[in-house]
Formats: sequence, structure tokens, C-alpha cells
Amino acid sequence: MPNISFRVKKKYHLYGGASLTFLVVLLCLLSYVYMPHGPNDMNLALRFTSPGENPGYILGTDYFGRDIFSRIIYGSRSVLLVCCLAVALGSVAGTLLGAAAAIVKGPLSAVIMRSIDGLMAFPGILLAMMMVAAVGKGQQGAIVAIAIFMVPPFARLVYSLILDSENSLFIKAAKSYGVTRSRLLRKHYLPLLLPRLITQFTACIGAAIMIETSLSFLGLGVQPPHASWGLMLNEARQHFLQYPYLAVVPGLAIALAVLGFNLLGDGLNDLLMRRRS
Amino acid sequence: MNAVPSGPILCCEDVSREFITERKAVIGTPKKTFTAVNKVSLCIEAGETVGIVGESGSGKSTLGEILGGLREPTLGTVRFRGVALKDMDESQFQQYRKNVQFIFQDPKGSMHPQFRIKQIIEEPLITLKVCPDRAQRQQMVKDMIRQVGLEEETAEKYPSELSGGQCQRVAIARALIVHPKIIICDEPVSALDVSVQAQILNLLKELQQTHEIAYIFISHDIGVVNYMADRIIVMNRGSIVETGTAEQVFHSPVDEYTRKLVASSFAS
Amino acid sequence: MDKLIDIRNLTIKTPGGRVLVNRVDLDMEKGEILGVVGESGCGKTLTAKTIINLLPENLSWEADKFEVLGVDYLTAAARVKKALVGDRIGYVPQNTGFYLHPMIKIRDQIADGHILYKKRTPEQALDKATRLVSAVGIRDAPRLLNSYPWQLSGGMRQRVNIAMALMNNPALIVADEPTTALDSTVQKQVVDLFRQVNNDYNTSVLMISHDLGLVKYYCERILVLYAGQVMEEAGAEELFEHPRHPYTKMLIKVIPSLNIKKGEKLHEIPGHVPDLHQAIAGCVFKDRCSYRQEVCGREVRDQTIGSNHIFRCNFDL
Repeated sequence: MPNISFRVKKKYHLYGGASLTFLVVLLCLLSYVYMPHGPNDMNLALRFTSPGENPGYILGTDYFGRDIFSRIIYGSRSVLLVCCLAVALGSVAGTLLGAAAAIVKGPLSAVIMRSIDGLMAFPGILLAMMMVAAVGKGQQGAIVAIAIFMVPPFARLVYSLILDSENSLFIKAAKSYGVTRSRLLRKHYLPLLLPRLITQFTACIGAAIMIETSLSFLGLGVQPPHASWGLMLNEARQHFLQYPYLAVVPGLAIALAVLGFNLLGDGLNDLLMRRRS
Repeated sequence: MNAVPSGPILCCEDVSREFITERKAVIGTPKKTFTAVNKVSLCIEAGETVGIVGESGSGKSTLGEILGGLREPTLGTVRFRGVALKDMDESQFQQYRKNVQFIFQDPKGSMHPQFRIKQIIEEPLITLKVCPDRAQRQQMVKDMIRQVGLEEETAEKYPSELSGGQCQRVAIARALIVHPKIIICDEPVSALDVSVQAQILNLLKELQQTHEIAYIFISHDIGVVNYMADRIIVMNRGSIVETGTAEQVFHSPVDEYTRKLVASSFAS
Repeated sequence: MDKLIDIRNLTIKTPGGRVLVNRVDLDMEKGEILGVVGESGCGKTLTAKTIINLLPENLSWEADKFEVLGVDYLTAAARVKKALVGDRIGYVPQNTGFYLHPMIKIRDQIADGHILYKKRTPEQALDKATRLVSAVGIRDAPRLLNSYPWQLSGGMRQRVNIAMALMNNPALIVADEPTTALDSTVQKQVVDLFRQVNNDYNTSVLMISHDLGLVKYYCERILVLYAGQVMEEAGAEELFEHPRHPYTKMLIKVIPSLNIKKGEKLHEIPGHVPDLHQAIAGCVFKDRCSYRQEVCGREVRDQTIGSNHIFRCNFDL
């Protein structure tokens, strides 16, 4: 039993992470309902308005006089949708592959796990760029790239967890009364894995945001004129010495979103793992 | 009921099981393989209790797992009602699985921590396709819970909420619900408190009389085996060193090792 | 200093207020072998852990009196207690493996305490270790000292643990279920070893066990614990010949002996060990006791027979 102060501290992870995550989700929802200006509406008379200078443009405007606040709100869409979808795809594929490798064993298992090791050997962004090159620029490309990138961590996690619990007595007992492999996976392993998978999922979204923003920063993700945080960062590059807020605002948005998901993952891990022990 | 051929239900003939080990078991004697069970033959008749005694590493648990089909022997055959396990077709194997059940040493460990007690007891009915009707299954679970001396509310609980003795009762219910002919009990009371041990032993005996089950009772505690078993097998280093009735084996042991085992017991 | 251990009203609580050990008295004379028996959760291990100053940090203990080898635990500084335990008390654990560092050779860990507390050189210490390891019945001592714990069997490791506990010529050895993890043939050898140590060095042994057969065979005086309380305390012979407490009586009967007749039903104690979440009024054993009367739900008293036979029951049956 950990002492009290330790517990309280960990709870802050959960609450802090949850509120930041909630904020990002809220921004995403807001983009469908209300934005102060159209994210691509240019107002050339009001170029480079600093934050706070004009009450109509809270976070200022960029080179084309577009409202940064609206672009941040709109950009949360691609962050959230691309990342959630990609991690969801990646986690399902990874879980299935890992489970197959752990349950079937033999040569198939070796083939699956070694290819996953191979996949992990590639630097992340290089792999993502290769995927984008194969699938094409834009959101679909980013989704496929991130999804593939997310397969190895899930496959490895599931593989090792199943191998770990395979020797437990209740699995042996289940085999003794003839539980089939698929039932074993669905009814016995899955509930055991679920807390770990949820934790991993949340933490992976943090990582996915980093990749998504990097891809759009490199011009391989969301295409201009659409708004995305990475793209905004890229566009800010030319002017940010004079107008630092151009880079600070999207940078901060990315940092807070990643922090939020990571903290949430940490907090969930603590919550779910403790409940089990 | 189909006609049951007379004679032993479960037999093993010259079964051996080797494990590959690379670590040294005893100082200075490097071993590559370790023979856990060495050419053991054994038959179990309907309704009897065969006790297997031995110390850790004697191969008694491995033998139990081989008889129960959880491990394949490296050599030898296991026969259920005269048919070798290797030659069985799907439905025959299912019949074998249904008729040979297990009770393990650590009752809590043998149950999925996230299942409710009723799910735990019900599962063999589903997997062994004993009863396709859900309502009927639930009724059977209810009856079973009562039969093993648990209260009805227990059905909704999780294993972690029960004591060791209660969990072992659940394990007995799970084994019994498919009406097996044999239950292999692998140290069923050694993880339990002394004051509940007797309850479980008596329950097992009672159920044996009402359901006509044979037990293979594996234990290191000769006092317990003596109480439970009609016929006793003493194992040492994978081989059977002595067999006989409880009376013969424990009161006038012939083998050197059996004598040592009886002398070292505090159960006199 | 007449008494080796003198504990009055030891109570151990969790932060949540669960009372795990409830007003336990324990005293030991020099050279004595005292057995503490009880089932899991009865508080026997916690009591032992308090004596060796290793109670888990989240538990708190209090007592009216707590003296071990003349040191008053209620007032002594942490440093003094630590030195006492290291220097004069030997501890033999249940799990033979966890107590030895797996990656350090026996020779490099067996003498640590000796070097630290007796200020010896490693050579002197190793010399003593070699002698002790031989004394606990290991034939090839140098070879054993050169091996790693994982290369040894459980019985061997337990012998090493005992030798280690003996390094500083302790006045007291606390053995917590020392043979539970061992095979029965080895069990007896290890137990005999304790007896021999007691004989040769006049070391007192506090033996914690769940196995009545074992303590009967081996202890001079026995304390029976149940749900954190002492149920009965008496000399070994007296306890087994004339048990007074219903719990002890039944406990002796439930163990299947080799002399049981065929078809005879084993005595059983109904129910299970109580959960200590709530305080229990009156007798803690009343729910499982066949002699239960109304008064047991309200109160329970201690009775003394002869010089040292104490039991906690309202009746004398």
C-alpha cells in the first residue's frame, strides 16, 4: 500500500490529464459549432495583429490576416480525428497480431514478431514519410502512416502480456475444461489486457499527435490552406523572429495536447493497475 | 446413458515425461534434461480414490497433468475407457475432457479474477457443450453452489472476495458440474488453513459417495492422503516406488524411501 | 535480566484502524523454544516482525511493555533497535530464496552482518562461516560458499539462512515458518538442526508455524493465536494432553492422523477465519464454537490453570 502523499500526487496526473484532454475534445467539437472567423478567411488589412490588440482576434492574425484562434480550433480537428482514428486502427491491428503470435506460437509467431521488430527499427518519422509517399499526401496518408507506426507497441504489449499470464493457473484450469482458443482470447485474456490497452491507447495518442504535427509541419499531412497545428508552425517559421506569437500559440497547443494525453495515460495506468492489485 | 464398459476408466501405460533444463538442479551436476515422470503405469477404477504421495519434484503433479490431458507424455499412452488419447476423435476427446476434471492447489489462482463465481462455475457447461440452454445452466449453477455448501449470494461475488476455503468449494463445484467420472485433485488442501482443511476433505468424501466419482488425490501430506485414499502410490524422482492400500503403505512400508517419508511426518 | 522477551498488550493496527494483532502477551525465557501457532491472518508473522523491528511501515504498533533482550522498544532509538536486531537476534525466513541476494555468491553475503556488527575482517568472518556451514550439516562447505543461491535446493538455502542467523552468536533466533517451503523429509532435518543449535549454544528460538504437528514435536511451550488474539498458552505436553480452549481442542482433532480408521469422518470446524474489518465483541471464536453461549457475544475472560496454562474462554470444559 503506497503512502498517502504518493496517492494524491498520482491523482493529479489523472485530473490534470483529463481536463487538458477534455479541452482538446471541446475545441474539436467547437469547430463544428462556432468559430469567431472562418479559419481560411483572409483579412489583408489586419495582417500580423498581435494577441490582444484587436478584441475580434483574441490570439492575433497571421501573414494573411487569418484569425489564429479560429485556426487553432479548426486544427484540433485534424489532431484529434487523425490521431484517434490512426491509433484505433493501429491498436486493433497490433492487438490481433500480438494475440495471434502469442496463442498460435510456432513459425507464424516468429514471422509476426520479427517483422514487428523490423518495423520498430525504422526511425518513426522516416517510416511515416515512406508511408505518406506510398499512400499520398493529406489526411489519409497521415492516418495510414501513424496507424502502421502504432502497430508494434500494441503487438508487443499484447504478446508479452499473454505470454505472462499464459502460465497462470486459471488459464491452465480453463484449458482443463476445454476452453477453445478463441474463447480463451475473448473471455479470459481480453478482460485482463483491457486496462493496459486503454492506458497504452491514451499514451499513444500523445505520441501520435507528435507525429501528425511533424508530418504536417513537413507538408506531408494536412494540405494548405486548411489549418493544422503543425502547418501553422511551419508557416510561422518565416516570420516568427518578428512575431513570435505565431509559433508560440500552435506550439503551446501541441505541447498541452500531448501533455494532456500523456498525463491521462499515466493517471489511468495508476488507477486501473491499482484497482487490479 | 450409453453402456459403460467395465474395467478401469483411466489408465496410463509406461508414461514418461522429460523436461529440458539447462540450469543446474543440484550443485555441480549440470543437467540437460530432467525426467519428471519415468515409466509410470497406473489404472483408476470407477469410484475409487488413488492417492499419489511424494515430495516436490517427485513428478506427482506432472503425472496428474498427463492423466488429465494437460501435458503430453514424451513416451507412453494414456487411455480413457480403453481408447488412447492420441487416437481420439473430436467428440471422444470432448467426452474425455468432460469426464476428467481438475481441482488445483491454489483455489484463487485457478479462477479468473474478473469473473463472478457464477460465471466460473458455469463456464465448463458452455465449453464442454453439456447444456445449451442458458436458464437451465443457471439453475444447475445454483444447485451446485448449494451442494458444495456455499450461500446463494456467493454467486455474484468475485474470487478475491472469498476466503481460501470458500474458493476451493467453488473449484469443486466447477469440477463437479459436468458430472465427471474422475476428478484429479492436485494438493487441494495444502494452501488452506488447518481449520478449513477438514471441511474440504469431508466435502470431497461426501460428494464422492453421492456422485460416484473417482479421485486421483495428489498430496505431500501423508496424513491427508491416508484419510482420503483407498489405494496409495508413492513416487520418488519420477518413479513409483511403492503401491498398496493405505494400511500397507503407511503402517508397514517396504521401500526405503517410503519409510523415510513416513518417519519424517508429524502426522502420527 | 531474567526474561529474554517481555511483551504486554501488543496491538498492531493498519492505518484504516483494522486491528490485526489484539493485546497479545508474549514472554520468553533464556534458552527456551517457544512455538507460536495459528492460521493465516492470525497475526503470528506480524508479531515476529515487530520483534525483529521489520514491521511494514504502514502498520503501527503499541504496547504497554515491549522489551527484547533488555532493550525497551518503546523508548529505544531506532539505531539501538537496529543494532540489537543485527547483532543479537537471528532471523530465519519462510521463503528461502528471497532472503538471499540471487546474484551474490554465498561467501560474499553470509558474513555481512558479522563483519558489520562484530568488526571482524572478511577472512575471520569467512572462517567462521565455513565452520557454521559445516555445523548445519553441509558436507562440502567451501564448494557451497562458492555457489550462488539459485544453484542450491530449498533445503540447502534454508541451511545457509540458519548458518547466517547464527553468525553473531545470537541470543535469540526468530524463525518464521522455517520449514513450510521444504519437503517433509528435509523439514525434519532442519527442525532437528534448530534443536541442536538450541542445545549447543543455548540459543532461544521463537518458532512461528501453522503446523501443529511440528510445534508439538519440537517446542517446549506453545502459544495458540487466532484472529490476532492469544487463545491458549501452555507447555507443549500440557497443551496437547489437556487442551482447554475449544479452538485448540478442535484444531488438534482436525488434523488427519495416520491412525484414523477407515470410514471414520474427520472432525471439522465449521465456518472460516473471521474477517478483521470490524472489531469483534466478546470472543473471536464464538461463531465457529460449538460450546457457544449467549455471554460469549458480550465478553470473554482469561483463565489460568496451574502455573502457566492460560486460555481465553468463558468456560472450562
